[in-house]
Amino acid sequence: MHENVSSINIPLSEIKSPQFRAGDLEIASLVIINLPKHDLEYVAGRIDFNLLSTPVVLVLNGTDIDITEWINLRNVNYFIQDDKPEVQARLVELSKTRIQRRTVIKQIAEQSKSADSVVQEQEEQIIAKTLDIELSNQEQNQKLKRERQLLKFLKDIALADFYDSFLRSIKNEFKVFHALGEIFLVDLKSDNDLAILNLKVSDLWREHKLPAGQSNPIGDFQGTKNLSTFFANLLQRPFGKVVPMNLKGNYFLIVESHLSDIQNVPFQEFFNDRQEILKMVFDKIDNEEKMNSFSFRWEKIFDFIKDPIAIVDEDYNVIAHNDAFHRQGDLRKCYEVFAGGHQPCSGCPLEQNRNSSTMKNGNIIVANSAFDVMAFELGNVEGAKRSFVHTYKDQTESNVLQLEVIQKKKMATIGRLAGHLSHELNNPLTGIRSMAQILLKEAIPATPTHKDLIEIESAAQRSLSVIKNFIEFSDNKNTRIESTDIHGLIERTMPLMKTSLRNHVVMKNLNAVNYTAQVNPPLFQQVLFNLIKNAIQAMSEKGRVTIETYNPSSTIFKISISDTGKGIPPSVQPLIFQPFFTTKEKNQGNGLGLSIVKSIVESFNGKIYFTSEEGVGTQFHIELPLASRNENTSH
Amino acid sequence: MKILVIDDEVLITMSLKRALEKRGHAVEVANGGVQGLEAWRRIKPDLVVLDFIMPDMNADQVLAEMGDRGGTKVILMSAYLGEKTVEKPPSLQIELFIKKPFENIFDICDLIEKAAG
Repeated sequence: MHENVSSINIPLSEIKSPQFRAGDLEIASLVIINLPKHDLEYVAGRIDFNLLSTPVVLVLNGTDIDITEWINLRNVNYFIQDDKPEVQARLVELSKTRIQRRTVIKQIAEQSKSADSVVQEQEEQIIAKTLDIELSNQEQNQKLKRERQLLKFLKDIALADFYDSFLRSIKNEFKVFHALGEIFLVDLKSDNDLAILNLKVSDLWREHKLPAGQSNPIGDFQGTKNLSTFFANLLQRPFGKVVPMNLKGNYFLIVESHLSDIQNVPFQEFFNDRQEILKMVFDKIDNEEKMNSFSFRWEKIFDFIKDPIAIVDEDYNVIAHNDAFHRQGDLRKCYEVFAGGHQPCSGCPLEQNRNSSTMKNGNIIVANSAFDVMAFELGNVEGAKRSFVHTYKDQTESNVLQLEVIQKKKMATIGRLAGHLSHELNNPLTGIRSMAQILLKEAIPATPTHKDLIEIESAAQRSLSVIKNFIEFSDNKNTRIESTDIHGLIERTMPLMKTSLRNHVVMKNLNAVNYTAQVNPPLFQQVLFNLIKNAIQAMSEKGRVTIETYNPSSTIFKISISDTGKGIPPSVQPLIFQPFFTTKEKNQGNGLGLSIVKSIVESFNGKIYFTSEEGVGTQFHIELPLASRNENTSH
Repeated sequence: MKILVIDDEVLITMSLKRALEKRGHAVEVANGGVQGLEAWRRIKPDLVVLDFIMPDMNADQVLAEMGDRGGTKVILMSAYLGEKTVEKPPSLQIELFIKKPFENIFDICDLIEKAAG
């Protein structure tokens, strides 16, 4: 890289001129000064060669003095004693090369100088940066520490499941500030109801306070100005500064502070830092509390309902239930829990409802009770099992009542009929019997006429007694329980069934020695009538009805009515005392039903039970307590 | 004693007539209230044995028609009212109340004679 070299030949006269400035020479790449040697000192006075960055060639004419030392002291690249032109030209060439080299060096030097500055700059930057990082690291650490503390607090307070543990956590957390007073919760329910929730020893207390004439400072809770006075009045003691925090709705956290203004700054920061956490956790507690009391109330209501209620899924699993359904907690299939069975109850509507969108109700029988099962479906979740609410309404009582009402109506009708019949039949029968008695007196004894008249008289008498028994039987106005001769009652009942018993063998073994019991005669007659009628109906072919009585103990009278009929299948044996249960054809089942028989017997403090064997027969047993001896004899 | 027996049941009037005549009484029978009143007016009996319920008239109506009865004594019979009315109703001013059905016709005759004095 060859630079353009410009050279300036300056005549001495110019240097001598007052306008000459050495600095002007700088624009050239090479300065050649041609002068006589005696002017050398003069020129040196005008031009400080050492300040001149441009190379200088001195051309001295006719010199004889040694100026080597002088030149050496100065920035003169070459000097030529002789001004022979070829020498000069060579010198210029040399100078040029030299100048070029020098320029390159100079450039390199400058470049390296600028590189230095770059490096230095970068170093400075690095130092600054490092400083920065160190600073931010510190900050970061502090922040991290703060976050850690908050996290620790959150972890701690998140365990709080009620106001008490919530407060305890706060008190524990705020312990670092020694000058804090009470910390408690305030529930501003309304203008005239304020509750303070605070820990006393370790229990939570809820106190309702609002002295007369003091209105709630709901609006004032934002500014702390009046709150100290407010709480001082409320709690009847001096109260420090109040730091309130609205946790949620009408709930406030109140911190009593005795901190100085300077101490207050970090506290306020500490307090604010925890605000979000406190609100969040309190919200959770409050919601849980509401949920708890809500579901608790519902559970109470459900348990209070006397009818069993259960939520059952489509596979009969009990999901929830009330006390009436089941008391213990182990939930299994509903039919296991409620009915003690191993398969779904007969009559349960679930089987139908699980495959249908419209709900059907059903009736089931559990133990000796009949239940209406009302079903409705819980809103079902897509893909989940369907579930149903079953309400079980015990119909046993109302079924029995209903049956009793029907029975009473039936008996009232029979009673009216008996009244008419007795009037219509008693008169002619009385006439027949009376006439037979008169004719008997006139007839000659032992003649066929006399015998016939005896038959007529006794037939009339029998007819009259049937009517009398029938009236007695249908006497539904007589509800008196009295000492009754049961044997006599049996004797009066049998004739009423003479036709039905016609095809069977009747055996009466009335072996009881004491047979006076406290019963209502017409009702007990109905019991006997029904049991005998059942015995007859159990026998499709000619069979035997046995009526036995005896005293199994000195206080018990027992009557057994047996048939030789088909027996009761074991599967229906548990059901036969249930209302409306019948194995009879529709028009045959016109009796009282064994449920009423049972309730009548039990109303006399008696008990009824049976033994039955299929193909052999059935025995019904009634045990009645004997009437006391006095009553026995007075009867 | 002149006795009038009024009952809608022929067999009863027949039996009582036969049994009471055996005992020496003069017995007239009527099988209804209207017929009975007619007989009562005609024969002026010492005693009327009267059934309580009859198709044409009941005993209280018959008794009302009889007014002061002109010295005739009255015995009532009834099958209908049952045990509760065994006591003779005092308002009817009768000698005796006989419950039907009879157990024995001759016992009834004894009762009638005794009541009529």
